Amino acid sequence: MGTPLSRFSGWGRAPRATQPGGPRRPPGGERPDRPFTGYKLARAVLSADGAKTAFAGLTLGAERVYGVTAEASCVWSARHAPPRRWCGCGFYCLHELADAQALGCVTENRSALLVEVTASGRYIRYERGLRYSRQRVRVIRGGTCGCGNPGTGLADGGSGLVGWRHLTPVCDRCGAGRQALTMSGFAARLDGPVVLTLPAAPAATPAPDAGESPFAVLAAEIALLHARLDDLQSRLDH
Amino acid sequence: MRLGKEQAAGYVEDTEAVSETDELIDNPERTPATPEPEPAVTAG
Repeated sequence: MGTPLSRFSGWGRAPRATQPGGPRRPPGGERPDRPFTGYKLARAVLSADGAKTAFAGLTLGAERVYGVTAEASCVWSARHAPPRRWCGCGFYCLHELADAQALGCVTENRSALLVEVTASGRYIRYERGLRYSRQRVRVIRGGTCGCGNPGTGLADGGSGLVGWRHLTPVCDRCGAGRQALTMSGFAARLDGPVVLTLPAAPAATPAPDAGESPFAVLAAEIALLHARLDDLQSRLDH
Repeated sequence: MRLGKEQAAGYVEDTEAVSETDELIDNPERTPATPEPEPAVTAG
């Protein structure tokens, strides 16, 4: 993935609508009337002073922080504008929400936020998504706590970049006693407006029977296994 | 991230973005872009 540049001073140039001499567009390309909507994963980050929040990429763009509106640049060569066909640079997004949700199941992506973006600028369109030059994060669709519940807040993820701490989604129970930003607190510290569309909390599941010891369950499972082995042995004997 | 086969390339403007300029257009309290004309000063 290319390197996203953001509005943050010191992190790259501010996005601009046109390049010097006009936008650098691929020759003979499509010219849709409306920008694309896409879905992607991003890491939430909090500035060292706690005043600002932003996003970071997951793979090649993991070292760069970007804001709500950002323009990509190539990490390998400043001589071309992303997305270059034979380079992997540019922002990435997927056409389908379900594909982005599936990507969120990958171990290293479990602490990422699912976001909805508007993709614009130069782009290359693929079967499942886009590679493109300009991005506006429009909706934050939340993240998942390590326990599997929807994240209601964002706590320190234990890693980070210079000046930025990675945040990880936490639910109310797992976040108890930890310093955490609410999702709305995270959104309020971004450098532009975004909409929060968070999944509803799952229905309360009944607590396991306190009288049912895990050892008792295990013993029952072992007894069942023995019974099956005995049955198998008797069949072999016949 | 695997995106599959390339299908097309192109360019599109973010027509849905609300620029800072747009926000100022309907704001009656905005600072005039052009200051009030000042009286001419005759040199010499």
